[in-house]
Amino acid sequence: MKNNWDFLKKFTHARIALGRVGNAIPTKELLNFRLAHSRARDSVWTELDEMKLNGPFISTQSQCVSKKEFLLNPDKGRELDSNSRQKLEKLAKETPALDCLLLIADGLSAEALHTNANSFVEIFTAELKKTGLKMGPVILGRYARVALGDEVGEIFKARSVVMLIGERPGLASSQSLSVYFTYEPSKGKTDANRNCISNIHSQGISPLGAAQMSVYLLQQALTKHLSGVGLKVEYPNEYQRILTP
Amino acid sequence: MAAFKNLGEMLAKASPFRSGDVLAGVAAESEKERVAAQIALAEVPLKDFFRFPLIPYEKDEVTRVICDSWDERAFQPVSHLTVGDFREYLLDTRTTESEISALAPGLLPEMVAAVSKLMRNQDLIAVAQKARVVTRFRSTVGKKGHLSIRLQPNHPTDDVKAITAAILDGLSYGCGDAVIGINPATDSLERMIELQKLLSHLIESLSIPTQSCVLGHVTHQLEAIKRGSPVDLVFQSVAGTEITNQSFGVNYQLLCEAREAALDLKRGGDQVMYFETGQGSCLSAQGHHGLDQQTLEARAYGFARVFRPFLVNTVVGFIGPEYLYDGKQILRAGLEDHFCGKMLGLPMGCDVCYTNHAEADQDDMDSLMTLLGVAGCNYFMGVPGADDIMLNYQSTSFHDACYVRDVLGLRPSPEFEAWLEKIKSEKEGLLKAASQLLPGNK
Repeated sequence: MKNNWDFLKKFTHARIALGRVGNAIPTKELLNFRLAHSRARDSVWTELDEMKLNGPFISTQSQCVSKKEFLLNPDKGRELDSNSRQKLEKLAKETPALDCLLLIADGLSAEALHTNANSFVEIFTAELKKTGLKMGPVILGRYARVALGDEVGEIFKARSVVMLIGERPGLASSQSLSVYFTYEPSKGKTDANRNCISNIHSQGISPLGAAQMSVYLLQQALTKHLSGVGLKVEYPNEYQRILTP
Repeated sequence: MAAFKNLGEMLAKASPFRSGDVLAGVAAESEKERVAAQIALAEVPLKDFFRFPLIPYEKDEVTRVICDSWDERAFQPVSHLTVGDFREYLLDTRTTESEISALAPGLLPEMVAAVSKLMRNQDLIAVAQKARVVTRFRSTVGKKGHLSIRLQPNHPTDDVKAITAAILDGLSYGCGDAVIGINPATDSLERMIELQKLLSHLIESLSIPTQSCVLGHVTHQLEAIKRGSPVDLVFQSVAGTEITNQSFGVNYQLLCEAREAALDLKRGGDQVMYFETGQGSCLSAQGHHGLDQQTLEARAYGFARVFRPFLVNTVVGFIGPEYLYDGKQILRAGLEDHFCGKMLGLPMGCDVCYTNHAEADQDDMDSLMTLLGVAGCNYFMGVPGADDIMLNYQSTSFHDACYVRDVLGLRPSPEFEAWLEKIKSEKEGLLKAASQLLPGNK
């Protein structure tokens, strides 16, 4: 049966103009949905593979020892295990004052990190270099939640932390990353202290665009001495274009 | 009571099993202890919840808002009852709808949470069905025999054409009568204003009796209002403790300010707030004060009601398996939240949903949606194909809305239904509008 609404599909990859049988979706769409769900479910359990990341980076792990523990204990995912903490404390002593620390972490999708982190890190590092701001070594976090960045930032006494982390997989994409940005990171900071750029993947905001936006955000925050809900971000026109691919 | 240190502990241990309470370390340690707590709770006089606030008045703004807005006179009809008696009073067929509605301002969230912990799922449905809450902006939501839908056309880059296409698709299934509400992907103020203008334009040009909302942070919405952007409903996530609200960057004063600003625009009605909540948010923000997540959720409703919201919904499975592990826990929580919200006088809807790391699937959503439809839930979400491509979770779809309205004999909001009839009577109606709004692509 021809669907008169089909032309709408070219504007979005959302599940629109699916057609209907009675009140339900056609069998083909029903099975498409189940297939996408099965993929997303499987990707939740994908382990971080450091070989898929370009580096260099310093590897760390949260207090979780397995994916299952990570999924059920968010608290443990917010704190470093003792080996990682010692490693970073030692490194911090040898590191001069930092404007920014970049953390990359698996979060709920290691697959997202494997696919999109390399280009983000490369561009972010290059863009930041142009501004003259000092960035520390890239830290990699396994079984990490967003707030792990607070502890790591605190150890280095960094002026800010940029956390690139795998989002929970959706049906349309299991390769989506988010950037969480915190000014003067320290343990106990809350979401109200952070800014976020989400949906970084091939059908969302490109890793390139997100890296440029992150550097802009960082500069704004360092000038205004804050991050979070108090920081009203007004991206100039060139960044608006990033949002409209 | 001897076996339990205080009311908070008793409530937590009486709560049906869920992962978030285990994570917080407040759950009963055995099934036997859970039932012992329920037996003890049944004997607690309702009055005790006023005499012993679970979080001290001096320490928590939410407690203050709840206590200061409590209407003692409305409480009188049930002031002599225990929690166990209260359950029986609510279920008694002689207790009328108007008696239950009149109680709402006299009930504290903790009383309502307590009685829900003694109730079976069918009790939560039977009583909620008697507690209708009707609100009005351009459409009327919550009337008996009606079910509304929030059209949720989110897109990962907030692309205006993509969002327009999803809205038109949703309208064609009769969705959008609760609100057309977009969660923006970024915190860009300009983009938020652009989306507000888009929604306002669509609603006006097609004369749709509905309202719009762009669900950014409340401070952004305030700023947008100051810049003259067309804002119908003001949205904010709220929770049951001051610490958690702080982590959301909000407090009572700020919400009052936002409400006043939206009222000043006089765009439709005097119910202008839209709140979302969900069990587990307090633990997630480390602001739970040793209480269980369902009691804290009810406190969020006690806080929300002073703002006379147009819409409130729990986003029941959104937060993840650390708090609600599987389909069974999500289903129970959805029924509890709807019941507690309605008992406290809120126009309660539900985002029936789950994430991909939870042990749940669309079958579980079918069950919860159908049960909540029977319970008289004000509205559900309408997401294209149930798959939110921006927030990365699964909710309920436009098709699901058609299904649940059909099997339960429920209709859209009256004004919206009349508009749908009118559109259908016109040649090509909505389809023609669609090809005009998104031209050159037929």
